[in-house]
Amino acid sequence: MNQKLSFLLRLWRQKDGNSQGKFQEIRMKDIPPDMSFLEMLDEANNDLIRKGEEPVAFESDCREGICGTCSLVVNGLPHGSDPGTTVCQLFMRRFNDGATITVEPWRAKAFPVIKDLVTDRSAFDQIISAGGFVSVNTGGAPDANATAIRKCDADTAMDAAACIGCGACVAACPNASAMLFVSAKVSHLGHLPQGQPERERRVVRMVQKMDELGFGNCSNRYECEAACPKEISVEHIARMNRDYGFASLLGTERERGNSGAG
Amino acid sequence: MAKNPVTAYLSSSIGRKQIMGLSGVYLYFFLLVHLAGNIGMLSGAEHFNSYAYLLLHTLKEIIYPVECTLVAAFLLHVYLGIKVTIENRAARPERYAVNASKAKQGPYAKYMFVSGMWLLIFVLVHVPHFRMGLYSEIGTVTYDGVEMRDLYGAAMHFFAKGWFTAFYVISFLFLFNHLAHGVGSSLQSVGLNHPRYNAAIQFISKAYAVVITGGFTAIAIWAYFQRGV
Repeated sequence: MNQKLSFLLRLWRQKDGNSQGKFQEIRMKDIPPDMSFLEMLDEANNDLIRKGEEPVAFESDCREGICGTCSLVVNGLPHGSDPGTTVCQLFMRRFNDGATITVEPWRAKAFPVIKDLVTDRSAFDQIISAGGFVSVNTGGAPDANATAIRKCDADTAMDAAACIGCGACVAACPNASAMLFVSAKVSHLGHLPQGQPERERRVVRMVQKMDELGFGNCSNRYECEAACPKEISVEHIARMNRDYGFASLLGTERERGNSGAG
Repeated sequence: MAKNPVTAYLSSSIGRKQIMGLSGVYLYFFLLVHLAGNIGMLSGAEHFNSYAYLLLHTLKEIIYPVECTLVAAFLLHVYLGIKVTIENRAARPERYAVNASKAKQGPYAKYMFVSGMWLLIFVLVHVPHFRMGLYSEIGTVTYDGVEMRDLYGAAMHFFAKGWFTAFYVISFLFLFNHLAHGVGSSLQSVGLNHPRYNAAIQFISKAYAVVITGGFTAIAIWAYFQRGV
């Protein structure tokens, strides 16, 4: 099992957002099967640096699957072939010896490439700023357990809150739609008592912002759910569809956030 | 700047998706009624022609408004389908070099635009032939002193041609694809998704697609084999 592996890497190289990108082929040898995918890329970069070439830019932070920073499309699959994991938790033993591995950035109009495999995902921050929050007035902290919440609601909110905002849903969607991300945030706050006062305004504003930013439309292909490292369910999309329909058509002007203070 | 809630809804991605789903629901329920009527062909010319006469003359105050809403739903469905597809392609200007899929869904969703475009062509052939009678003079028959269009005879005339029947059967395959994804998808778009019912929704939408397209295909093939009978 300790047999070393070799691969042909095809890495996407792109100088900046305005340049044309292309693949660079790199041969990797003597890779231990238990090396992680990102460690293998670190090795590839070490080789490039030794040769005096520019290392390939890619993002990572925690490298333990919880931060949502790593964002690579490996052989056409965001975060690679394993279910429910981020690409930092992908290991080289998952690949056959001698395999060609193609690595691309998230591809979406709303996530422009900054350099190589790094994309600008600040569109997600803009969606959150539009309504993905709970307004809390100043004052003493409320007592724990003062606000009653049903267990099933707490569980559903927690399932949705598992979203780490990595953007794999957008990368996997054939239409580059952000519906799974937005619905996870809408569901997370919409299930909690603290999220109720702004529930209608939140869904209307977040969807409006999502549409403005150039994400595609949902066509119920469910690639998002399959690619999500936190296995967020498309059930949340259905719930957002419902919430949006009611809030946008039946919500009052004040609830929809179009008039009045705040 | 406050926007009118209805226009805001209709121009949003979710609003359009829901309108597309609901117009789809209307269209696929229409297909069930259409199939139920067409099965009458198996009972022979008099039964079928009398049914067509009942719809177009006796019930004309009902049928014309219904036809108007069907045309409206169809045009809206086609318009939104094309618009949304163009936007979706624009949302990913640079395609992936390697394409792969992890979704457990069947292949049907992938071909919604292609099957939809084919069905648009089909409707542009079907409606002029049978509803408007443009391509061939539909004759008349008289039963019990009432003169009516011989729609049964026209159908037998058209379906006697192999290419015509083949075109219909191929169109029904596209219809199967469109319904196999569309029936379940329309429910998701309006927010009907629950772990308790999802398996049933999937089963019913596939079964609905099988019944509708199977029924129409059987009638077309039956009509083809009536040549010279």
